Amino acid sequence: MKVKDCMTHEVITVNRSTTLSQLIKTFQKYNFHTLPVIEKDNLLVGIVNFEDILKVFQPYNAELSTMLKTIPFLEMESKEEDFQDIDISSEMGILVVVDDIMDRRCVTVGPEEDINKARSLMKLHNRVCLTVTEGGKLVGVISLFDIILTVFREKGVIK
Amino acid sequence: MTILSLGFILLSGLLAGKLIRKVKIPVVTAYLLLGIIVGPSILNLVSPGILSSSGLISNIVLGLIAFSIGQNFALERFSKIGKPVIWISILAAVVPWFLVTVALLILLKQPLHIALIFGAISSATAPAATMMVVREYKAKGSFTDTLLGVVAIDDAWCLIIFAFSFAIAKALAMHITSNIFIFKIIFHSFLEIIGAFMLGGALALILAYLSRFITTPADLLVYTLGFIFLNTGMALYLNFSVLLANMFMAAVLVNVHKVSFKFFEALRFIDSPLYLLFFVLAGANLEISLLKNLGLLGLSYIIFRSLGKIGGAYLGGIAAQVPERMKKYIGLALLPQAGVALGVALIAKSEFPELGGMIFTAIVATTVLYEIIGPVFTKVSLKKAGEVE
Repeated sequence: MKVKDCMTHEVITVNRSTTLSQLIKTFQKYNFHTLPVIEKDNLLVGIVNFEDILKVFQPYNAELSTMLKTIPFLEMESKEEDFQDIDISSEMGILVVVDDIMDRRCVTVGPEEDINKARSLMKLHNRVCLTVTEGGKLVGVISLFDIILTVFREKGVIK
Repeated sequence: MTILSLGFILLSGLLAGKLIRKVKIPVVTAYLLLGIIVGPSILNLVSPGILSSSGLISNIVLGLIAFSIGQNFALERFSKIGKPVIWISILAAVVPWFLVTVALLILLKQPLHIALIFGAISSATAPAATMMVVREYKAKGSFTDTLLGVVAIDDAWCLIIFAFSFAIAKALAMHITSNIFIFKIIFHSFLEIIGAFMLGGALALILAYLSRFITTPADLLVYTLGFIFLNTGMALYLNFSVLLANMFMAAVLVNVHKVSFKFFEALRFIDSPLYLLFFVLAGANLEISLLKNLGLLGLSYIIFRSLGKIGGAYLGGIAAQVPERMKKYIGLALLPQAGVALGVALIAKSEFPELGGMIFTAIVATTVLYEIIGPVFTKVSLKKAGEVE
């Protein structure tokens, strides 16, 4: 079975300029964990999940944040965030945009690939959802639940 | 006894780290001090089996560090690093190297290969300590962004400087009595560096190609670690630079593999206990009896390294035309020194058995000092730059 047979074609997306408050409302409305970030012509430029929102508590931008991840021993010096003590102003809802916090490192799968390949990529990258692209353009998303649903439907477990 | 020692080191290290956080000193300092206390110089609680494997652990840890640092050389990411970060990071690494080397050579009459090693070690910083201060005081602004950009890449320059200096120092020590002295030095240094690039590059291509057969996170960790060990082992066997071989393997990997981040993320599951062990053993390897002879050497190292960091960052600021407050204070924030300096000092110790103990003890002692006073200077510089309330 191919990815295109299980994937969701109608995808809820955001773009780089979507504000933090719009993003939170989208998460709230659709109850998704991850949203693809696209630009003109459906070109996939990243993904954003609700854990990325925590990046607004850091005083530096996403590019710098990626660079800082390469620092050895950094984890040893980090400590738990105190959510009560977070320095965040109400303007951040409109000042912070998706481009500031999104993850540019996308794991993608092609629509013609086998679903076992998609499952294998999910396991390897510890994800429950992958973006499906064709020539860099977003054509759908496939989640673990989509795969389970299709397989169970095929086996007659559900109608 | 060895396993008992390992358990003791890991658990007491964890406790020491938690305690030292309360006085806002980098955790690394706790591990080093713990190592000094439990080491043979004071309590002698570490088994000889563990102590004798310090070289093995430091080579593994340095392989991991160099591999991790190498991912910054993704062309896409590197091209986005601003001019100020590039200039300041390079000159804040090169100027201390130059000043410390010249000072030790001329003022203290040390042999050139030893002066070169100290100079190269002095170019290292402690990015994690700088980050700790930035987080602690919630510093933000253009000064903080530039500072963090600098500390994210400057240990890469240190590894490159050290690899070159170490190659020259080894060749100097080996051929000091030879007639064709200069030629042999150039030839051996060249071989060590070029060999490391070729080895790292070739293994990166194989790693990237064969990774299609890796399907589970457990396999990915084993696979990545296996390649780092293979690369480190082959570099040691062929007498190539371990640091450059691993850094270059990562640099090639990030440029040829679309989702290379998975290799680096896989290592995060195992690096913390190895790093802790590395720091405690570094402390345990300090020879307290050598400390009394290090007064002038240690003092010169601290003075000229500090001058080099402050002056080098200032020159970098001039080259990149940054605001005056950045030029003046950013070098002060780069004073902490930690893991990379200790790691390369351990390499030097194993290569030069006669003077290695002195080099290593001087670096451990100055690291403890820099880790205590360095964050204070980082905080002062952030305040002076107006980015801490």
